[in-house]
Amino acid sequence: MGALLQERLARGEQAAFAELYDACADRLHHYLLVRLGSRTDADDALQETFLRLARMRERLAKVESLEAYVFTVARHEAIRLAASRVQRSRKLQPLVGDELFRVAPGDANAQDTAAALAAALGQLKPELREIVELKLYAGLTFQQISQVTDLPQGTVATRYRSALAHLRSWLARKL
Amino acid sequence: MNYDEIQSLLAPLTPRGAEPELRTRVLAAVAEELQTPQRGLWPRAALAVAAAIVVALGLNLWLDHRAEQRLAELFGPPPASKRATEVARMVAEAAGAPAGRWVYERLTARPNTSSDPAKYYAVLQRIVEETQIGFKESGHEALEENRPVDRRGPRRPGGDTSDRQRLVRGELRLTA
Repeated sequence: MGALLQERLARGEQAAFAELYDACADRLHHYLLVRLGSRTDADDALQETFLRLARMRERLAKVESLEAYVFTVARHEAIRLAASRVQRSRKLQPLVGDELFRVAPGDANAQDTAAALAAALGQLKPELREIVELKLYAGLTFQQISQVTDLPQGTVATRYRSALAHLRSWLARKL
Repeated sequence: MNYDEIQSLLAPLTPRGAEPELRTRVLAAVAEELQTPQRGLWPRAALAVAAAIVVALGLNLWLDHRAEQRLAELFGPPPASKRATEVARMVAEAAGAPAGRWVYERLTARPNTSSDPAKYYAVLQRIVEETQIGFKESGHEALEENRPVDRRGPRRPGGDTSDRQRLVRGELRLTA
């Protein structure tokens, strides 16, 4: 996602927003799903994220990392939606394997692995789960994750290693 | 199981993304938003700040006025200044009731400089100068010599003990 795309977004080109959606919507949605635990909420948060980007489009030309900026906006939307869910007293349901991963119907091994991973991610603390999600599935660098989460880069790296250590011990028992 | 094994276990699973229908819905909402003309943030922020200041000032004035009203309801009107009363009484004794009332009204009117004692004093002084009392001797003077004191006698002679007296008669004239 280059500077040209950013300029086109800032000018309000509909096609530029479509390109941005195609480039990162799946990763954004997965991230929001892991954070919010609900597909419906993740759908709403994704829409709100893009609406906010459209409203603030003039700023997009000046951001250093568009990817990190988009994930930051999505994160704020997730926080806002989670807060409103608390007000509405809705409980977060743990996610299962096929909600998080695409698994071929006949592939039992993959289904088991997906289920185990979903459970393993579910038992992580939210702040560790977020780092794993952004690193492994959103594909962001530690620097970008640091911008998104507003944490020092060292803390991001430490939390990532800690998350992997937890996953290792969990998966070693289950698999 | 080491870190590389964990990562190799996690990485191959394809994350499930957004449903295709969501793309249509999101881009339609974005298109609608892009049609809305953008307003600059700064004029809105400046207007909001100006409005907040005006509301705060108005509220402050209203609360001030309301507090004074409530105090007047509870305790009656604010008391007259003692100084103003004294000065007005002196002026009234010297120059008559109308002059005294005029001075009282000038002194008890809410001054513009009520928060600054020095300026308030200057106003007071100006009022006194404007109501300057002219002093003119009109009567005759009678000079009396002191009676010689017999110091050989008792220390406290009976009668008048003053050294010298001048009896002066005069009239007070109010000039403005």
